[in-house]
Amino acid sequence: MSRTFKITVKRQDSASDKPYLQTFAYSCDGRITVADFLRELNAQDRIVDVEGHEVSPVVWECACFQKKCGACAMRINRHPALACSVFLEDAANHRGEILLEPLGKFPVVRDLKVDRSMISDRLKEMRVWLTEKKTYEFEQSPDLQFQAARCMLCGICLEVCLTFGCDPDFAGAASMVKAGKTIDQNQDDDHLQEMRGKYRKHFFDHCCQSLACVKACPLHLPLAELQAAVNRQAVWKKK
Amino acid sequence: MNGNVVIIGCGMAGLSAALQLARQSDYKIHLVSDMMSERSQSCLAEGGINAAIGPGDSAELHCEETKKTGCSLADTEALMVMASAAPDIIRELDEWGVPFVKRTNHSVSVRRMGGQTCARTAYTENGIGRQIIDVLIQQARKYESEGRIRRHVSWTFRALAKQDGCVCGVWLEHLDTREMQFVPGQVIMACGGLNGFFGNATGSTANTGIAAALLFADSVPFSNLEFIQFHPTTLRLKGKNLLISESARNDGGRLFVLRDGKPYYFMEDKYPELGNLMPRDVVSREECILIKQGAQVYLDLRGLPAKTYETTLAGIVSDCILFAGINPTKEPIPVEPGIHYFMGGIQVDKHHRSPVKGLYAAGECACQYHGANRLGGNSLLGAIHGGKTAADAVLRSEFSIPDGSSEGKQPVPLRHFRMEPLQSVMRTAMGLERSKGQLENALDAVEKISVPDEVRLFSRAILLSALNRTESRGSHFRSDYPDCDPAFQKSSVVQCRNGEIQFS
Repeated sequence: MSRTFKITVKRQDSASDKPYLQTFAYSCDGRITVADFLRELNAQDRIVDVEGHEVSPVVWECACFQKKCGACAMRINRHPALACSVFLEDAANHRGEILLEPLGKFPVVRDLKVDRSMISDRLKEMRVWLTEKKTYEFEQSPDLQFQAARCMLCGICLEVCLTFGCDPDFAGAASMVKAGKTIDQNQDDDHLQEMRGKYRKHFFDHCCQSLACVKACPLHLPLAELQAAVNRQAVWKKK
Repeated sequence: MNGNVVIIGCGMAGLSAALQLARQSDYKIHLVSDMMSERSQSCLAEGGINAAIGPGDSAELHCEETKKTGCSLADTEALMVMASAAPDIIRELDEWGVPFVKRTNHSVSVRRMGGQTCARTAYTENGIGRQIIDVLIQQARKYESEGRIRRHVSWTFRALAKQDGCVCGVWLEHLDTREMQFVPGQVIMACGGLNGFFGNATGSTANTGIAAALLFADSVPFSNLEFIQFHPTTLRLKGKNLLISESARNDGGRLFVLRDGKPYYFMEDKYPELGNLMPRDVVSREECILIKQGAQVYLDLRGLPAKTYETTLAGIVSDCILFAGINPTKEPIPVEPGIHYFMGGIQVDKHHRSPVKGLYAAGECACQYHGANRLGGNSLLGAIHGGKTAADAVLRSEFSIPDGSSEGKQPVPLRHFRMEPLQSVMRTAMGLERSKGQLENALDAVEKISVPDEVRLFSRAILLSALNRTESRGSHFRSDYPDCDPAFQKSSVVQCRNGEIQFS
């Protein structure tokens, strides 16, 4: 059954411009994702808002449309999520309204596109890379290492985090996940000691254990389990 | 050794090239991409990566089966080098932390994929692409922190800069501000396939093919553009087709259509030896015949061991439920052939050098290993090996591009345009079955579509490549020339000279 959705997009022409709201009317059965809506909107010859004004295409990031790249993270009716895996009928309130906003903890580049480079910068700061791999005897099971590598750095865990953004030292769950796999795999050398120290400084010493990230992760990664494993390696294990 | 290198694209091929250069030289490495590596199409790869490490296998056999699947178009010498290098690539990825599925003696386990007579594909629980990208990013991070690799994210390729016929750098355009930047260096293209020219591919919508079109208009030769692989098991969503990996059939998935209300397992009936695991072009064409008769093809994953659903098929099961509302453990999945891989691309020699001095290409944007059809598990191998080989070729080149090279004339930003009208024309004409009439209609139609001249020109080159190959071979099937013609057993090369499209 077709119904009309009122989809409001928070737009911003550049990092320094003021944001404004723009609403689009869209009729469908609701079984279309927010990402497909944005793709279809931008594919139109003339894009018009609900008042009939012609407007420019909405800037947002997307690549895979199947929950595998993490590009399309945004706030959908206040909830951070991947636009490719949220259907209009599930997102809308009873009046059929949906509000799309950029993630709030990252600088806006334009419209729904934010600059998430701070996640990569943090991983550099925490020196997350292997020097030489241990052969066996990992703390994490192969499955846990596999799960850690699945993290796409979409930023949703940071968006919902109570600490990230308030505490300048805190790097958040995404960094914990990536650091955890590497700390587990790296042989015992100076670099491992450095990674352990950085992990304590940028994650362990600050995490308030609200575990908001566990619920929010679009891949349902076992974040609590991953954290317990890296804590055993980086905090509790005798040197 | 020092100098500058610019790599366009930061997926598997681009990262592989960057790492090889960083380890082997003092080159300044510029890694250019519209988004970060975590978003690249390589992350979507499902099946695995090939290497002759299993019982009864050899590099020779790997080479032979790759060549055979590609209908004898690929360069045997280059293939043999890749097949021989593959076991070391697996070893290196293992050392960098890819959690491959292992046997009890800790050696990497391999499984069988379509078109292969032995188990040759190394794999992880699922989603191998993400697992490999994760470790490559990590290795690159070390060099980034040392300032050896410099990333340019949100920048896109605009034009080559040349001096005396030799590439000396690139002009990049910023995605958001439209400003231009010149970066000096030899150039490695690693910008992926031509998804944007077709739409509804299984890959990333970020692989627009625009960089390829700009290069073509700048007289860079391309090869085998008519060969597009259709994956036989894709599930149509709105703007893209969802890939159901070949591994689903390796795990016991069966293809069928309904005949008199009963499932008819057409692949098993017609090809008793390899059955559902025949090469992709064969399976796709069999489906196409049945679809033309009005049948719906299904992939049946019901009745498999519960552990399979929780491990190797976990991603497929959850994707089908989420995106299509179909639970594959309880109901069959409606599938169709979907555009999956472009075998053709920038013409390169066995060292991944293009005919233009200072320009190299690797990964899906290059034409090298896959001939008329690609073997499953060879794309990741081709990307990693190709990236390394291109990097080695840069290091062996007798010239280097210093800072302060001549940048030439600054190009204007590319205007905003829509690809959708072009996509539907290209998709129709370049489908699984092609014919003279359809291709000529499409050539007329693209003239009337409003896109930049470079994009129109490249679309014409793709269509003409398919029109000129008046035979059927591998993924290229002409309904008006259904047989393979030995006279065509060679790669096609297309180049733009003074605005004219020419074949050789």
